[in-house]
Amino acid sequence: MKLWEFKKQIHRYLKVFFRLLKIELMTSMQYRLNFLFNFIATLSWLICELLFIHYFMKSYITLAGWNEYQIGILIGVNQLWVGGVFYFMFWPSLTTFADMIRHGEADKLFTLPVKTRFYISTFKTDWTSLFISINGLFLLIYCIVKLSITLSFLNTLYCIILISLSSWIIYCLFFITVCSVFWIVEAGSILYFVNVVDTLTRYPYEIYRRGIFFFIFTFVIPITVISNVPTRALIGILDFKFVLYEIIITVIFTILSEIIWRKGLKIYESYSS
Amino acid sequence: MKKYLMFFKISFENFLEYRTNLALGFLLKLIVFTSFVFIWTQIANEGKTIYGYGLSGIIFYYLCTQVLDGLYTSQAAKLLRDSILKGNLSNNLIKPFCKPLYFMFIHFSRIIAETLVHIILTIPIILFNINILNNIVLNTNTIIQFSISAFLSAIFGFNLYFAIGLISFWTTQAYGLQMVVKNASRFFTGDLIPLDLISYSFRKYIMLTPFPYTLYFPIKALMGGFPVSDFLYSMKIILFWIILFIIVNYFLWKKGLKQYEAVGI
Repeated sequence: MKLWEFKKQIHRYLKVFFRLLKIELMTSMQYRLNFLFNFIATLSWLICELLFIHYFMKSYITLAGWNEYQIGILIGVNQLWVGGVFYFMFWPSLTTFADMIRHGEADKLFTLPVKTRFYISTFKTDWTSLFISINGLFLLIYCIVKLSITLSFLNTLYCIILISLSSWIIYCLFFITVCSVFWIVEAGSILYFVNVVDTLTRYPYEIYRRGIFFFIFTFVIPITVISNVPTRALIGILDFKFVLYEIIITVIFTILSEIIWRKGLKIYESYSS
Repeated sequence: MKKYLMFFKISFENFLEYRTNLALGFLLKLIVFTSFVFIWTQIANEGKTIYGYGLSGIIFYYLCTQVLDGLYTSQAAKLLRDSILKGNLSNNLIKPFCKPLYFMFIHFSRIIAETLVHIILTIPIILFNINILNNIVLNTNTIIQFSISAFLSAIFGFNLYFAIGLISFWTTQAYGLQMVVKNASRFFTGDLIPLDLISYSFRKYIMLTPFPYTLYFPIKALMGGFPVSDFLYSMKIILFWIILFIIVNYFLWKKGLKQYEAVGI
């Protein structure tokens, strides 16, 4: 493909993407009360999580060498990708896709003049999930101020790049999970697997360094890198071998998700229609 | 009563029909449980004391929070919301049974089915570490306290979520409210941390709310129970909240039915 053709394609996809965002925003704004409830729900979730960390740290001072505010930064970074990317776009789009497969309504998605994988990953957005990111950002700023950390431009840049990689890993992981609907149709609880991964990423990875779990949480489900590595980049304690590892994991999950997607498409039979 | 028992039986069988899904859901919860195990094991390994529990006690506590999780959460809100919004409530309204009781029996069938599946799936963990069972204190006192508090927890859970479901008579946004209640109560039920590990100055206020009696209290009853006077005092609080919600639900139901149009949204 020539360069100008590639640029044209990118421009076209961006146009579709922003049009979809606009439609979803207009739909969301019809339910203003829902906005309010979602804001309170995400805020109350975060407050409960912080109360836990606060009372836990009050008794034990540190967890694997991390103090209350450092864990606060870890949770803040986690909330950035959870609300800003995952629940904003991938969760609503892909769960809707899984529902459509189950009810035999997915056929029309495969006939659209855009890449199906792109469309099914972006066609639904939940604008209220941005509250999760906003809460996370405030928490992040508060903890950084409390720790008197001076953020360098380079560390912030590393953190942003690594959050993007982590978001992509989570997307691929969730995409693979959702692809299970091609084989088992009624995926049900399996779809919540990524929510569990999200929970596990909120704590310092040192606590998972025990026996078989170290292997599972590092090489099978890369929990140890997802929120931890960007956080360490931000506060300047990053070990660069983890960056390399995160890049390798990203490539592996990208290839794996594409293989599973293609295999799934081959056996898709338009159930129940 | 016979017809309600029939509702219970049908609903119970219906829940067990989807046992694979129930089991998978619980296995995912167990992964979350492992995060707490890791946190507290780290604390123990650092040579710090877990006051009043010890490592085995605290792991048992978190295991119980997962097993008994279904006690307090209820599908009443979702069932009621769906039937109001889709207009299906009309079918039930013309039938000769008490609608709130019908929802309550479905609630109890779900609790029993879910808890049974949870217990069965917990057996391998217990077999892996049989000593964890030493944290259960079995005597008449603890059995009575656990049974009463678990039962009242289920009754309260039903009434709370039923109230949320009733809001659907006026707004389609009851799901958001349900999420608010679910998220906000996580800390206060003792789901995240045993409430006796937090400071007394804060705890004394939490204990006036109904939430500690839904999860923390039944588990602590199982782990050794409370002095009778404390137990009775706590039961008065949860009973107060149950009665309050029953009254609120009664009026919400009456008012809601008056403006119910059965259009289906």
